[in-house]
Amino acid sequence: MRLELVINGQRYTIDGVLEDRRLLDVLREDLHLTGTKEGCGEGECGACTIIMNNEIRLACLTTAIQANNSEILTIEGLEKDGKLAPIQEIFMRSGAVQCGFCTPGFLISAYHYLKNGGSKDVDSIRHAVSGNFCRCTGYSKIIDGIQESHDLMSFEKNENSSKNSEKEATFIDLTTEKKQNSINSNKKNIFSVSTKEELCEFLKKYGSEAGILAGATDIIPSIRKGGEKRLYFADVSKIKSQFSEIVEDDKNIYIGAMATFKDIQHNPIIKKHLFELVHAAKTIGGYTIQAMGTIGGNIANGSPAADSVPALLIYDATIELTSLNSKREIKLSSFYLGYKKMDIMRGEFISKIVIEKKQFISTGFEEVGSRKAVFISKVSLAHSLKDEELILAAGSVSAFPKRLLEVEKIFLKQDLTKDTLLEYLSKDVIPLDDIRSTGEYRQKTLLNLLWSLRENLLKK
Amino acid sequence: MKKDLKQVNSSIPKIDGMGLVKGKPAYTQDLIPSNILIVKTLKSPHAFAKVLNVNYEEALKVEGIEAIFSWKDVPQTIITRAGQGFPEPSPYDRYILNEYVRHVGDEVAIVAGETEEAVEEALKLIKVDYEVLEAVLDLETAVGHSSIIHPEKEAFSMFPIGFDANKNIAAAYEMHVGDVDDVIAKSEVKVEGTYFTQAQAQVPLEPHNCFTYVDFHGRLNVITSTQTPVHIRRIMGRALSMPLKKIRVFKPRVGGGFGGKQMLHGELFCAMVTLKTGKAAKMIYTRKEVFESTCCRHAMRFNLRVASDKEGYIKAIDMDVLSDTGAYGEHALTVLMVAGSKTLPLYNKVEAVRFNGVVCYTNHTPAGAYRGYGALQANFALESLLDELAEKLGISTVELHKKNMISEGESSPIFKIMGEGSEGVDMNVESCKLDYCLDRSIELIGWENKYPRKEIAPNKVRGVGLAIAMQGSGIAHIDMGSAILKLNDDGFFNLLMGATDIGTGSDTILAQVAAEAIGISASDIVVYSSDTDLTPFDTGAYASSTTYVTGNAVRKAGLNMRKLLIETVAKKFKVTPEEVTFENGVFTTEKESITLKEFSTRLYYNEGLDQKQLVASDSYVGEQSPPPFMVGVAEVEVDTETGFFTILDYAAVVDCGTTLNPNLAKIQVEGGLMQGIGMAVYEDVVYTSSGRMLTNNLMTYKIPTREDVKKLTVEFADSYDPSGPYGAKSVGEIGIDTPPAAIANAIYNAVGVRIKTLPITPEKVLMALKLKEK
Ligand SMILES: Cc1cc2nc3c(=O)[nH]c(=O)nc-3n(C[C@H](O)[C@H](O)[C@H](O)COP(=O)(O)OP(=O)(O)OC[C@H]3O[C@@H](n4cnc5c(N)ncnc54)[C@H](O)[C@@H]3O)c2cc1C
Ligand code: FES
Ligand code: FES
Repeated sequence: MRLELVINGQRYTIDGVLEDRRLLDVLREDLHLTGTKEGCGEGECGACTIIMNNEIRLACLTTAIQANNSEILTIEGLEKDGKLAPIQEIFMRSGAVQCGFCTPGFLISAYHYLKNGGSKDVDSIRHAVSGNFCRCTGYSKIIDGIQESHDLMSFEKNENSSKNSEKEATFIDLTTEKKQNSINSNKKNIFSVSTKEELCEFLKKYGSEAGILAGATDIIPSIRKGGEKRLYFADVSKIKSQFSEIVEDDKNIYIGAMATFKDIQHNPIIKKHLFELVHAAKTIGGYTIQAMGTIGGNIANGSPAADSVPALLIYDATIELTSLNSKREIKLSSFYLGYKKMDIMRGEFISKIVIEKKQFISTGFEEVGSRKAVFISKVSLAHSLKDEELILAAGSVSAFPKRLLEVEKIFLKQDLTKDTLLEYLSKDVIPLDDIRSTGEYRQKTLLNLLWSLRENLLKK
Repeated sequence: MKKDLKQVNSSIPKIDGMGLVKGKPAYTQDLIPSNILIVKTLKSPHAFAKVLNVNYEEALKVEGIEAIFSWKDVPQTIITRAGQGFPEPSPYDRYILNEYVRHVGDEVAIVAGETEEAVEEALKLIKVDYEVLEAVLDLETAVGHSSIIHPEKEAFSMFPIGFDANKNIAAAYEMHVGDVDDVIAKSEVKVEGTYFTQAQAQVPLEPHNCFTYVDFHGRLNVITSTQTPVHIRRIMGRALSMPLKKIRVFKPRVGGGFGGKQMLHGELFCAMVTLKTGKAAKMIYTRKEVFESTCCRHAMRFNLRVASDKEGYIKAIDMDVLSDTGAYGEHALTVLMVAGSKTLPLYNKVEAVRFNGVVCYTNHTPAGAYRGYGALQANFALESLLDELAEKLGISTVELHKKNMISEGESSPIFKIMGEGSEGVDMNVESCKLDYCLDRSIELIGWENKYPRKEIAPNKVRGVGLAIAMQGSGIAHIDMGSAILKLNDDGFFNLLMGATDIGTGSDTILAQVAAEAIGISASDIVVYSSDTDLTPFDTGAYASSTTYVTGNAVRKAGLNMRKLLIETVAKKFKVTPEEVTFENGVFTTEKESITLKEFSTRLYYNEGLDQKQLVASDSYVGEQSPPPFMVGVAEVEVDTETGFFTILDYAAVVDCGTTLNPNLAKIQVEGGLMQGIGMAVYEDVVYTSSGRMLTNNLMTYKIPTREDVKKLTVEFADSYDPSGPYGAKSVGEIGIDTPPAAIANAIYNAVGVRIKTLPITPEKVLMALKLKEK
């Protein structure tokens, strides 16, 4: 493919790039912009953080086709007219840099945060760099450095685009370059779709061989680990904006399935009505993953640990599935059929999530896991209560996130004992045993979470 | 002493910071030329197997494949990859490739090709017949197991280290002072316990990587992210049967090491390809390979007994250790010995002490060097058990420590008995501010009002706990560092060192030391480290040696340079050296003066027959290894419903002598604390029952992020070690030592359960709470 990019204000045209070549390799190998680092290649460390179209992005989880026609800022672009950005100056002076390998990623995350009006509040700063790991420092100089530079940074609007992109593009020809690497040696075919119809046709054509490259935060790590069997992927960058709107009417809230967790966190409608979803969105991965990962991808990936699902279950969400000529709606609670098995048909994709507005007496989302950022949650419990209607949903305890229908029946009965609760709980979930935690612990934890929730609810 | 210091003891920014914040090419991977062969290795899927046959005929046919080697194609010279001084205290038990594979991830074949795709494809096409052998995966049953992990008869040790391959023993060590059993039997108060510390992965953010080429002189050039260039050169020379003069090793910027880059990793595979094909080659480890195929910390099991009198004076310590070195015995003996030698001297007034340890082979990923190096492991056991002792005595842990810990001017018989791999060196501790560190750290945390616990909600309890620690400063009589200083026209200096800055900031502090000694500003020093062709010998960045050992060498070289400068100026002005003063960049005699800048330019261009190059150098071997000390205090909040706990505050006060660069010293300690906290509560290398590593990415292997610790406070004691460069001792490792015990003790104080197996997870706390209820 021909890849057109504006990087740090400079236009580039690169011919003959493989669609599934990683943006990280384009930057480091084709353009020799080696400031962006590779620490893991799986979205976990943040060393490859860049800004793409004013959004934070991991270059290791971005393919060339997704980056096409975008504007990119890398560490090399922070310096303006031979002057360091204040944050670079402060990082250098204060000891935020030890071995320095994480530094470009942190600087980019910080720059993006400050540029987009991030506050001086330490917790917000920590959240903004929660997708970046440092193994050398104790993080304090990094956090302090961002805080210190808060008032010193100045940003021009559209600093990259207008004036510079008029300059002639640097042209690079890789057409005869046989040494190009792509994301994986099992060559995957990625197509860019421009309309909903194209997407549906694509999905219909390739059926179980097809996947949707939305945020790519599940797909690319899985391809890299050799776990992805599908061969055809549709890049939805071009239609993303159509399917990421969040709107409301008198009755319902409609969330476009391609909305990212960052969109969700900041959306006023969701903030007003769906507090637990905001909470879930903030706990997914680190900040970079939240900015890339979509809610549709989270639902469709079907992981037992998918964090948004318990939060959606307690609002009794409905999902809209779109195919070429029709649409259908289905309750999220009946969408999952087994481990990574879902009620989704050939040619369909998740287009929307619909949630009815309600006034709740109480809602909550609690999780227990042993590290704050970048963890896939261990045990989570969400609840909502409206008059007599109680919904309980748990994550990471069974093959898929689940409503606790049996427990719901007896949960608020006066004479309930912990043993009876356990009995009902055992009907709802068969605990998972995996590396993150033993099944027994999960069950015990869930039982304890339920018990203290019950005490709290009864008090009210 | 410290008052007159101008360059050191000041927080100048890192000299390399500018390039790094700009994202300039600096690390090995940034410098790799394009169009270079890609090298990858085929890994064993089995924990233990004999490789019967490797068929790579089909694989060789893949377009773009340049070479494939199995063990039959590479020299079978036995080596150790440990990356230590020579002769190494680690067994020679390793080949470039061998007919046995001893852990999942052990290398079976080397593949080189033009593209990653071709190489991946070839890897899939190689057919290997394995005879799968019974794997040894349990530390406790490894010794004397019927499966012998190193059956090869060539394996040996350079000198007695207790190596006994037939019993799966890589190393063993025993020592005692007095009759421990007798003293314990007679003592009034006794405690004992079994503790387990897990394998921890170093996780430098920059994965291991290197590239190799043969230059036009026909010499092998190895550019690698390593802590130990000279050891790499020596070991490669042996493995490849090449004279050392044919090999050049240099390290660009290193993105973190923590011990993980002390050993050889990809260098030999890459070099094999380059030597056989004549082509340049690169090898970049994936994160999974870093986890599975490099090294980690030795997991250890301690049986520990401590006895005291009724007043709380400790009379005897008996430490018994079983250590897991995994598939190869790298650092087996030395890590074991440090477990004793860097903890037992803390309590130097005992009547009897015994240390006994065995390091066994298992079919796990090999263990290697890692910050803390045994001291961390033993610290957890000892400081946990002392907390129990205090409770049993009915005194506070602060009082117990004050009664027993070592103080300035004292010695311990252990210093003489236990070194690293051999006998140690007698010494008096000439700087020790443990008293201050203890008082100040408990003040910082607010111990008075918080000890032992505070209930803040029905199911939320807070507690505080503490631990003290020591480390070393290089290996006395063994580690050697050196430095060359070269004056240039215009009056600046090159400082050439073999010491490797792996992110620690050593290039900066050593420039400060050189500047202090010469009497100039650090900004006039250009540091270059390290390249075996250009820089002088240095054992490398490990064993907390750089500040102290290399620092002393740099100081001596700097003083030599100053002397040389003054002598040369004196000669020029025809006065005696005593008549020349050098200050603020100006040489002055009674009658004349000249700036360094002018003098040096003249010296090289305008002094006729007196023109000459000024070079000064010196080296240093530690006569002793003065320990840095510290106290760490943790405050935790435990949720009794879920076992989940939060580290609210961690206060650490360190005595590392003079802080050559207070700011850099502080981030060293903070970084050490974070890793120690990781070891204490998150990080764990976990295997399946068949020996496959489950925690081979950053999602499952959890290193701490800043969101995990609320507050970290690090301070330094005012201290000065007369043997150190400008009073400095080491500070690179010690920060990691205290968190496991301090956090375990804090949790005990909060909720009354003692977790003796690291990491301390919410699961373990909850399960222990349940058990306690019953
Ligand atoms: C470092 C890291 C940490 C993470 N932490 C968490 C965490 O804490 N909690 C958590 O829940 N998840 C976590 N994840 C997983 C992931 O980020 C989320 O599941 C994310 O929401 C996936 O969205 P995506 O847009 O990136 O999906 P993609 O990777 O693009 O797609 C995922 C799957 O969904 C399908 N798909 C995508 N969109 C649609 C659609 N509209 N209709 C039908 N199918 C679709 C794709 O075919 C694919 O099978 C983490 C991932 C990484 C790399
Ligand atoms: S390289 Fe680690 S997140 Fe991209
Ligand atoms: S400075 Fe080394 S990883 Fe952050």
